[in-house]
Amino acid sequence: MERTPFGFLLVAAGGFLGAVARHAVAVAVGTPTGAGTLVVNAVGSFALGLLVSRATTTRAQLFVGTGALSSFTTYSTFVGDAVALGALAGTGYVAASYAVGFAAALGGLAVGGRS
Amino acid sequence: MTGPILAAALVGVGGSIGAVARHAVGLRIEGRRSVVAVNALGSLALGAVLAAPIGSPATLLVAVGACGAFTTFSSFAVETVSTATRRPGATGKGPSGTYRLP
Repeated sequence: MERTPFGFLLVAAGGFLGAVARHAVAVAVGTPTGAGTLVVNAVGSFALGLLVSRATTTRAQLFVGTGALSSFTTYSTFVGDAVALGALAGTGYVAASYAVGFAAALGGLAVGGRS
Repeated sequence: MTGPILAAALVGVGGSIGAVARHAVGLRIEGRRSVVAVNALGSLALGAVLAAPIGSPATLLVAVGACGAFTTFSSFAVETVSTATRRPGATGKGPSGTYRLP
């Protein structure tokens, strides 16, 4: 499944939805810089923690996990936002994103009964 | 100016490409190392794209869509906390042991 054309199709479809949802959140949240990215990364990390605890089928993992949730969250925009904020605010933003993101992932795993 | 529907379509198509590329990397490199690889590579690409004088549609397709989806924060966070909270004597398998990340 992972290496089949259908597997790649599931990832592509999930990636489409995840990226569009991330863009919609960024547009809705607007300023300040990085606010939308922090929201999607926190929500997506919680959801992925829950998914890896609960999902039993490879199809669900590929479509929801590898496709949608991994595309909904982003590391590159997070780094771009941190750089755009400057040294002091950027450092605070990185620390806040890591703290919130890790706590959310831990929460998702805990709710899913995995950790 | 790009309309909201076209903007969403560009981001979505870029997102599909980024997710498939990330999946392809994940199939070749195991676990955490693949997350680090895509995040480093995608961040470099985003910096290059944002520095280039390309228009709004291309930025939506490549920067927001492809680079945004190629890199991932959720897999990084779940991998990290799973590794950090693994009990001694456990199977040694994080999420990547049961399903491929990112």
